[in-house]
Amino acid sequence: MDKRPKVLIIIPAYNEAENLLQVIENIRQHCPQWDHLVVNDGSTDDTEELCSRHGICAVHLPINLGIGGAVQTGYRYACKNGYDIAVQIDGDGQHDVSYLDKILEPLLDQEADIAIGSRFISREGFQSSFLRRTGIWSLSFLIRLCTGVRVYDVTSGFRAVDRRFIRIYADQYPTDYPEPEAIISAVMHGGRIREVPVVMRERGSGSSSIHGLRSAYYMIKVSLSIIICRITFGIRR
Amino acid sequence: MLPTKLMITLGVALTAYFILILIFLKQRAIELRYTLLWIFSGIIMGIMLLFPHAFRAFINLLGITGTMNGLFIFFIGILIMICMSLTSIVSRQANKLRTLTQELAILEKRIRELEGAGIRTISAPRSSPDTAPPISGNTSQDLPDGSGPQTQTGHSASA
Repeated sequence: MDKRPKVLIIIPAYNEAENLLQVIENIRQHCPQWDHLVVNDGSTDDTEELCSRHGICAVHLPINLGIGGAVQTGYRYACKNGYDIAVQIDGDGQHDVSYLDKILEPLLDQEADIAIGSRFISREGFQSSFLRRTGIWSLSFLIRLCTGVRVYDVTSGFRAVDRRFIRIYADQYPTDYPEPEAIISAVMHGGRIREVPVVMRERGSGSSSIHGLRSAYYMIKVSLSIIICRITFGIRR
Repeated sequence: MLPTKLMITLGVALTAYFILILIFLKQRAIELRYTLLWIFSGIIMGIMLLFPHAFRAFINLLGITGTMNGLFIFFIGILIMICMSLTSIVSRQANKLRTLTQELAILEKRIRELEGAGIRTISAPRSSPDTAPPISGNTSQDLPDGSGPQTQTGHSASA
């Protein structure tokens, strides 16, 4: 590639005003050469005001679409503006942007179409609770069963995709709890997935959206959607 | 054979059903394509009423005993079909709504940027508003320094 690729960092944010500024500061500090886009998913706190006050590049969704819809907005934006690579990171400060270079590496070297930042390869940093790790492991196993591809950190929202997958995701992206489904969709579209070891932090403030009864719903919903997603793609692979 | 009383009741109900659909259509309260399934099930009900023997033979064929049982199962089947079509309509509309919301938000950002650029251009003495970035084309290419959209928003925020 003769010129520098256009990279967009997508940051979906729903009521993350407390953590958002820190995330943006990190991006401006570690990778000022790349564009970023905050997708404000109909937040009810002062995210919108914060963005305009600090000159943060942001898209404000008038209604809450959920994480899937928000991330898709970012891909749609990337697609419209001709970006070569889109990276999504969480707005809660879990993902360390200093690993961005490592995540982009396989894409820039054209060794992979999708790179996923995984906390379970080097097993450093925040590893999540035992129950969650078990859940993630079983989803990972299910994905392997369905597609033959081993991805360890299937719920990681720290990922980079190339131009082809920007277009695919802009057109179609799963809605609630989309990360594992997006992996299936990527494999089914013939994408090469590469996991990159990263260290994640515990979220800045607030709490995860998945706890208690929701975890049961999450596991059932995601397992079902993985199986259904696999079936609807047919025998393409 | 259906009892005569029941046939009369069903006949009246069916007529009311069709009149209701017609009224809805006339008032444009429902779109024709969504009523197709309703009309279709109405016609089947009509056929059942007019040819009760055929209906009897049909439910016998399915292994259902009792005419009333057959009627119930039949209507429940129709209701489930209608519910499924409603779910599919809702899903499709949710999808469209999501796309619309996303496009709206992206457009809103673009307008914000253009307004910011417009104000900047007006305040600069050497250029006129006509030299503001054209509507077509992509955001970051419109920017003089090509450094991406956030620079633009930064201007609009400070403007």
